[in-house]
Amino acid sequence: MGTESRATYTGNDSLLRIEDLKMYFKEGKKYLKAVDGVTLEIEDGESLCLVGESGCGKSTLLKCVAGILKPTSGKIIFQGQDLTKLKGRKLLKARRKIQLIFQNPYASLDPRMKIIDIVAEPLRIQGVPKDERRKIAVETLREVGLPPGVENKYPHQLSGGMRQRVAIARALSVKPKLVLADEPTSALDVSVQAGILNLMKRLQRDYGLTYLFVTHDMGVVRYICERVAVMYLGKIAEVASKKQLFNSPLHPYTQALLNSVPIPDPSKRKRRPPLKGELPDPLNPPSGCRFHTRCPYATEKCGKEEPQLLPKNGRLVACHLVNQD
Amino acid sequence: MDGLIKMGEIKDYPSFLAGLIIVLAVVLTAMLAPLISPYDPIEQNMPHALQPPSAYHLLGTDPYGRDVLSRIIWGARVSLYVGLLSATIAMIVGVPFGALAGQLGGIADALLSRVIDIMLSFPGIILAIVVMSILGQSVDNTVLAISLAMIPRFARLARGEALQLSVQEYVQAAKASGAGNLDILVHHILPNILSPILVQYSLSIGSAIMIEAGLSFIGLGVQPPTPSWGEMLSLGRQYLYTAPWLSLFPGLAIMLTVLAFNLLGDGLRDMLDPRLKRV
Repeated sequence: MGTESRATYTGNDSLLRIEDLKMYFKEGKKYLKAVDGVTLEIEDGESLCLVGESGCGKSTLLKCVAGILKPTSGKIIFQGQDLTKLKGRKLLKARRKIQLIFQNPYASLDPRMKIIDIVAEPLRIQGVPKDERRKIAVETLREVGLPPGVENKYPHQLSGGMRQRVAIARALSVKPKLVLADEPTSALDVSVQAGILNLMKRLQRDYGLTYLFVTHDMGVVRYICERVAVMYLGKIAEVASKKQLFNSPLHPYTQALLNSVPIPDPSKRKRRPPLKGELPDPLNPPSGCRFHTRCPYATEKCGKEEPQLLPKNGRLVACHLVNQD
Repeated sequence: MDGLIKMGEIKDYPSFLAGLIIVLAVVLTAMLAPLISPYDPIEQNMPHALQPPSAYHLLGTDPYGRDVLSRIIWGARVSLYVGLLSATIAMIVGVPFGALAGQLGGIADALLSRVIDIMLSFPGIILAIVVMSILGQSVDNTVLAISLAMIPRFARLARGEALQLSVQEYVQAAKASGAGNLDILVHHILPNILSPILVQYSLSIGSAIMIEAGLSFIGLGVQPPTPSWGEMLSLGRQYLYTAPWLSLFPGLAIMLTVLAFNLLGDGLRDMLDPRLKRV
């Protein structure tokens, strides 16, 4: 299976398939459509990056998959089971295979719990006996590169990088298949970001993990991802392999997003139209293509008709201009 | 739990230390009452009635010839029993309800919040008076009435704190791992709201003692001849001009004890709040 076919790949062994997922929040009399009909597939063992501006719904999507939010409609099919339909013990069992790493390691660790109890918590919830889960927790702490003795400390005694390693150990302790990461490096110093990313890459290799990575850092995308899904105002704009995306972004929004990444070498800078304006109010999303208000190529059709996410040269794009030729 | 209070730090908080010393003194007095009280607190001794403070009766005697000091010493038992027990019951009942409501939100929260609002709109003593007149008078009914009056304070405090905590990422992480509401309550919410609850608990003991004294003063609380500070005040009221020691000393005892618990609570708040930590 070549890189070209990866983006549109719709085989049966996809680990996670999100189908037409919608997550609406009621704001007064209106609905805030944070996630509005997202369909996305993640293959076993790959790492998919979900990128987009703040407020585009990428974290909300992740929280739906993690089970923190109950989606308004749509399916989340994990290993053949629709998670939105599971209940009780079956759901708990399926949850074990999906773990989450948060953005801010200062907020995601309970300040009153010892490190060992934090790491062992998913095991405790799964009903693993105390001695066994403590043993696993200590082993996992070593695995993420934390020194002996750390298990009896409290979160406030650790640095940001160490805390994020604890959060990773917590996710890893139950031997998950799918790890959801919500900007796991953005709250950290630049000097420790690389260490965390390297660790996550090594763990992916050693444990056969699948990553769904939410980020707005294109450097992180380049380093860790194989495929990228670009999100704009609750919808997917483009899904492509990393190489395709960086070399020839098709959707005007993707182009603008890449344009916002500084390139050190001036001779390598390409001229792409800059992104104008702010993200529109998600309570009143623009008609037709949601990007048309900021798109430099927008035509009359873009303001009226909503583009579908269609395959194009081995990837998926939702843009009238790209899809017509 | 360790790290909540460091022993070496106590000396930096004089009000906490003062409160602690007085509270310990009152507790010791109550515990050792049979050993240290000079006279029987109940037995009447009419020939020695209404004597002013002297070497024989350090704080004087009441209209029945009973030693005021002995009655204050024994009265500490009632005050502490009622204060500690009713604050504890109020805490044990109010905190889980409030915390769960704050954590769950929605209808459960709205319902509980309205009930709390209604209960809080009555002054504690009024609520206690109503309950006492329904239940009848005894020490244990006093405890019940006071704890009922104080439950909403704990529930409201716990609700507010739990509401803030329920959106914390570590709570969401537990939820994502499949933890149930009760699991989250026990492992994350309760340990993290412990400090404000502890402060409220200490302050509540003080106000429970006040309410008990008030109830006994108007004759609804502990019944004579059981010595209670409020009941002593009530008796002394009739002799305010001729025998002021009758009301002065029980009044001082109430004031000092309530003050001590309030100092303890305020001190605890300062110690447990990292923003007020002294460098």
